[in-house]
Amino acid sequence: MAEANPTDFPTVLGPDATFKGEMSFEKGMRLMGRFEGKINTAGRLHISREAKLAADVDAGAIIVEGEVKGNLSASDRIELKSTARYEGDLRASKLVVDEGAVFQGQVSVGPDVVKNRPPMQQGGGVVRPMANTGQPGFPPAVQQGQPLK
Amino acid sequence: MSRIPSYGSSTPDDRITIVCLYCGKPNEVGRRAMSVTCKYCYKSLTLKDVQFKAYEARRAVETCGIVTVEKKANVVTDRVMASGLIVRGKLKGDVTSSGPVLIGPEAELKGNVTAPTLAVGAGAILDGKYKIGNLEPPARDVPPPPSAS
Repeated sequence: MAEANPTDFPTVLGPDATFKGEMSFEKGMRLMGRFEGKINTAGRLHISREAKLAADVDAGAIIVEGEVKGNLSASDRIELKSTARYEGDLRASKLVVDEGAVFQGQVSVGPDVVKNRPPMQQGGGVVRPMANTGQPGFPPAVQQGQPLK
Repeated sequence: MSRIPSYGSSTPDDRITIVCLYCGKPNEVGRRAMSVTCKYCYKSLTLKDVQFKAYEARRAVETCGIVTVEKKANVVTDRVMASGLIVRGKLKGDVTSSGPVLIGPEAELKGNVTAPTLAVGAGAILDGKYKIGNLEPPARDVPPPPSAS
C-alpha cells in the first residue's frame, strides 16, 4: 500500500495504546493499537495490521488490515486488505476485498444501502455534522480481483 | 472451466483433477469428461461450465465448472454450488463456491455466499451473509476410495 500522507490521518492510536469508549473525529484516524467501543466519523478510519478493533463503526471510509469484530458502516467504501480478519455486519456503498481477506457476517452493499440505513444508536455520543463533507480523494472505484479462467 | 490442471508427472495430459463439490476430495478425471461420479462420496458431478443469459428459475445449479450470470440474466435459485462464479447480471440464491466469486459492476447478488475469495465491482449490490476466506472445510464422514484393482 502506498504510504499515506500524515495529514490524511491526523489522529493516531499507537500500537501500545488501548482505548475503551466512544470516539469521534473529523478527518481520519489510524488505529494501530486496541479499540473497544464506538467510532463515529465522516472521515476515514484505517485499521492497521497490528490493530484490534471491537466496535461499531460509522465512518466515511474504512480500511481494514487488522482484526475487527463489530458492525461497520461506511457512506463511501469499505476496503478489506489481504491481512484483514473481520467478523460482523457490513454496510457500505462500495466494497473492496483483497485476496486473502477473511470475513464473516451480514453484507449489505449498494449505492442506496447507506442512504436507507436505519439511524445508528447514538448513545449520547458526540456526532457533529460535518461542515466539510468532502471525502478524501479516493480514486474511482476499481473492479478488483483477477479474472476467472 | 475451473478444473485444477495437474502438473504432476503421474497425471497424463488428458487427465485433470477436480474437487468434489460435496466432499471436497480431489478426483482425477478425463479432460473431456462431461460428468463423473465422485469416487469418495459417490455423488454425481457435472463438469461443464454453466452460463445464464436470460431469466431462469432453477432449484439448484451445481457444477464443478464455472457459473456465469451474464448481464441480461436474472437467475433465481435455491443454491449455486460451483468452483467459481461470475455475476454480471442478477442472481438470487445461496452460493457456495470453491473458487473465487466475481461480482461485476452493477451486478446484483442476493443470498448467502461462502467462497475463498470475493471481488466486487463498483456499483454492485450485495445482500446476504458472507463467509469469505480460507474457511475450514466441513468435516464429513466419507468412505475411503475404492482400491484401483
